[in-house]
Amino acid sequence: MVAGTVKIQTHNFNAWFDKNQVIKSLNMQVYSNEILGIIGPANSGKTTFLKSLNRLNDLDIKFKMDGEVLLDNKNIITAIDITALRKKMSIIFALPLPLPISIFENIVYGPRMHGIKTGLEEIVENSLKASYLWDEVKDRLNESALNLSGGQQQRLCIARSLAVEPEVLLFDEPCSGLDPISTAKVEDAMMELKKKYTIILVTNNVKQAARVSGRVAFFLMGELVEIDFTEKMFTNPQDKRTNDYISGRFG
Amino acid sequence: MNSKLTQKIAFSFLFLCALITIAPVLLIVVIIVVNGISAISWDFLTTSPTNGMRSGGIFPAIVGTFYLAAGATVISLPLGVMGGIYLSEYSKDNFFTRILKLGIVNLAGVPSIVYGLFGLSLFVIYLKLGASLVSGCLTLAIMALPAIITATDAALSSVPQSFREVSLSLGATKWQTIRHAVLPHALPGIITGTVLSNARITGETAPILFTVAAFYLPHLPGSVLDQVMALPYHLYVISTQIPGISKSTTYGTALVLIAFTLSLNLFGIIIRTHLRRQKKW
Repeated sequence: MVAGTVKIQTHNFNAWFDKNQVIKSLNMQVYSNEILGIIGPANSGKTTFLKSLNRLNDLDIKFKMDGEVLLDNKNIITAIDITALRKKMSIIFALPLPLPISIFENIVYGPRMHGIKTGLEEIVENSLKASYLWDEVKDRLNESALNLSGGQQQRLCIARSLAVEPEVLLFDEPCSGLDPISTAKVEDAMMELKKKYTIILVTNNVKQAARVSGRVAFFLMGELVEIDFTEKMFTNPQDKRTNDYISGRFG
Repeated sequence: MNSKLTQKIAFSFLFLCALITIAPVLLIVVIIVVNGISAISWDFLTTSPTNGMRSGGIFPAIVGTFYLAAGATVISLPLGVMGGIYLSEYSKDNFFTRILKLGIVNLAGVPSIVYGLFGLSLFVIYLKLGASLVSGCLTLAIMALPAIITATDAALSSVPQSFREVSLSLGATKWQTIRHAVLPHALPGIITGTVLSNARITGETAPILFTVAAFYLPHLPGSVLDQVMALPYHLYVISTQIPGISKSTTYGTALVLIAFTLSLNLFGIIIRTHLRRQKKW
């Protein structure tokens, strides 16, 4: 069906904030080296799903979850070493969130936390090249990351995620605050990155999902309505709700 | 009444209020400087009092106050900052925490004489440390703690939550996150709070009254268990207990005390500015 092996699969995954169930009995697979786009209107559970994968929802004490989410056949819901899990699943947030330190320090932040002390220059160069930012910043690595434009900051955040050598990249509406040119650059980076990484892209922009993802999942009110190859989803969706959403009738 | 006139009246009124607030402070400083500057000399700053404290210098009191300020800071800074970190980053938001925070805020408003008596009963009498430098430093440290904890808590809370999320999402542990992504950005606020708090306790008389301050001790302390003279207490003594002392000596002592507190504040401001300049935020 899809080239690549199953990287992530969920079995009856449920999630709640207090008594409000935000993900309802989710069953799906994510394959390695694919870009899976997740689309759906606000409050459909897309971001919650993404943040469940690297357990960032744990920061909210109201959050509860059950079921199974397997990463390489290991259940992450019962994972003990959460820092190791987060290192494998790196998230890129909706707004570019550089730390108020230099470009260089932003990128080596993760590696430093994992005890890497040598070869930092190389990590910085490789990460920035992979996120298509190297040429723009190579002469000012010691400048504050806050001096960069929004699009550059977001690519810096991608580089920062790459620097911890993750296996899965979680993009949470990464282009929602960017202009079309910056968006194109980030999308280019994604297309290149899927050769090495598994990518899950949550997006409010249906067209973006159509442009970059190999498969698309449509979430609605915490339920997975439909998941299929991008081409099929956009030409011949099985569910009427998918069709309505894609053609812009709601959402 | 037209709006321009209303505006003028409002401005004048606000300006007047600002003036009334500042005027007494300025007046105090001017009076002290005018009356005290003539007493200030190298001898005044570097020799011990003589002739029943009517003449001579105030060197032991300066040194004593310096020791007290330094000792209190050394004790209160780590304790207060770590307590603040616990409250801000680790404690769960429950009934107990809220009571604790309320208690700490209220501790900052407890009259200083109460701290003095607390220090007397706990350190001087119960722990048998006697009236000594260490008792005084501990008492002052306890008095400084609430402000330091509150300042630390506030400074940490003002660091955006996103910094923590970013750090955690990169696989850093909670402690690494606090240490590397939160604390550096809270440092200017913490330092400001600490310095302000310690400048304030440096000028306090009541807490050191029973715990450390010596009436007259014309030599420097040999150990932490010795008593010391201190500027605020010395000022109190010479202005109430010594008849016939020259006005310039009293004012001179007050001037030194004010200068001491002010330079502490200045020191804090310099560190803060320096840290802020490093911060590329």
